[in-house]
Amino acid sequence: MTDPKPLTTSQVIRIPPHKKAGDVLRVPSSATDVLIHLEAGAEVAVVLSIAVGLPTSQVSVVLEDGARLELLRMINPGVAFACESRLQVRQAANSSLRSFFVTKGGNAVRDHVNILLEGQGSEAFLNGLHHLAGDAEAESHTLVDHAAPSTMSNQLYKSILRDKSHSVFNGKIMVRREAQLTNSYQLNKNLLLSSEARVDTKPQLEIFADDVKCSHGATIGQLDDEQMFYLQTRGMDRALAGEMLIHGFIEDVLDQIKDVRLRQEVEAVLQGDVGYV
Amino acid sequence: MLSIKDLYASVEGNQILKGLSLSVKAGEVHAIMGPNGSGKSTLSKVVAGHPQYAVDSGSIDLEIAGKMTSLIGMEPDERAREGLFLAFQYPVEIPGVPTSEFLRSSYNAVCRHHGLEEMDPIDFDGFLREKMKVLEMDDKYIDRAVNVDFSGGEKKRNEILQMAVLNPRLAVLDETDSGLDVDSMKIVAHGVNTLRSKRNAMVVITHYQRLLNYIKPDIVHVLHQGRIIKTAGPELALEVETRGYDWLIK
Ligand SMILES: Nc1ncnc2c1ncn2[C@@H]1O[C@H](COP(=O)(O)OP(=O)(O)OP(=O)(O)O)[C@@H](O)[C@H]1O
Ligand SMILES: [Mg+2]
Repeated sequence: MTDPKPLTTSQVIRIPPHKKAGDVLRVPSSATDVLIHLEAGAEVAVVLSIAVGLPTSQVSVVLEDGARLELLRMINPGVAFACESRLQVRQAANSSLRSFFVTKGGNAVRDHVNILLEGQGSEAFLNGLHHLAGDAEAESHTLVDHAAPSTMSNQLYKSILRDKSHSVFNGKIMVRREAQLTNSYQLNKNLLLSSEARVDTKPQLEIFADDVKCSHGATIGQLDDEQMFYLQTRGMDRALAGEMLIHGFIEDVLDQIKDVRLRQEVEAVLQGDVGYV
Repeated sequence: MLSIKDLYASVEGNQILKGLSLSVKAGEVHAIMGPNGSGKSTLSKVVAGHPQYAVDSGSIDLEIAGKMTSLIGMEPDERAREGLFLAFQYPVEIPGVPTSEFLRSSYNAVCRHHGLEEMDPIDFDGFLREKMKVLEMDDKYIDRAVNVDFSGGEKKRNEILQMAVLNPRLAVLDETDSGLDVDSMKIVAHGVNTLRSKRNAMVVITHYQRLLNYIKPDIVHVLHQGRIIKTAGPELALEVETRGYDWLIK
């Protein structure tokens, strides 16, 4: 008998003040409980792959004044079981979070994102991609709590659904009384590639301040016939044209990833085994 | 090159083309004029193979590898790879797809079909810039999404750029001149004329004789209520310009 490896570990990533980490930090896939703490003015990009064998993943983030974090969390393709993940963030003044969640596997993935914007001028960009096939299900539940003035949040979640897959987006925005001059945006777009795929999308707004800009929207659609025809008249067959249109559909989400290394990682996963069409 | 015989075609149950015949030979340029709603765009969509348009009866044949071949039942992309091109009256916007990538995919799809070598992004970029020069197009377009945030005139120019990239044997240009200012029209016409040869043919749909000053047609047709009611030489376009269509319709 070999030594049993611990299935789960805790991991702490601490970036000292004003350190701008050049390398992408990779959280070992065995970690189920992660704390990422950026001290004032620190900057880093972190990748966390949620791998086979770990049904839960909990990430806590603390961003001190002016800290900047770009965080990519991916559910690996091939995860064929239920999985629950959670991201909990507290942001001090002028800090910035760019969060990206992508799932292309798992048959029941549920992700929770809780953002507390407690420092003036803090901002959070929350992006998600559900790329599902078979009878896979993915849920994204977000809560953005604007608790200080001049805070900004922008959520863009998209899903591409084949077969009998099912995507859920529940996005809650809360703007507290003291959070004047808040901007908060939320958009959920869904592309159904099968008549049996399903979407549930629900925005929730609770606004107690009066000087705020808020918008939210949701769309559910199929590949556009006129776009398909246009590409076909340019010699591309339906499969290739569909691939282009799907890539076009998620381009603006991918564009939200500012670190090119992170972006390449996501594109590699999306272009993996299942393919676009 | 193209032979349409007694074509009846419908869209969503409405019959629009009612016994249309048209024959275009290699090396020829045909102009089609006709009142709004007469079926000009319908004809172009049917020839290109739009799935919403049904051919009720009649035939559409295109010369493919030296043989007249029926297009009916052929996918739009197959037709395109065999050398048919449609410049849209209303070019379609494709958000998120860069123009350069779109053009390269299109070019390579046609090359693959003909067993020719595909171009990598670097070679294609050089090739594309040459074509853009002819059409006096700014480099900035190639990084933008296809037709997104293009002005009406820029979209039309982009259609001709696509035609220049694909070098089709039969091109149908649906009101490519509409929305173009005088200078742009000259540039586009010049682009079209550089593509003219003995081996290809064009069908130019237009409302205005002005375009035909620059792209000289061999034959002019007037389409009315889904049929060609008059066919003559270039002088017919001038006559339509001054007299309208009433005298033809009676
Ligand atoms: N999808 C559709 N469903 C129903 N009717 C249609 C459809 N598309 C076109 N039509 C009708 O077919 C007729 C011919 O339209 P078409 O677009 O071919 O005209 P056109 O000659 O190109 O006109 P224009 O000069 O205005 O571009 C019109 O009466 C139009 O309303
Ligand atoms: Mg028309």
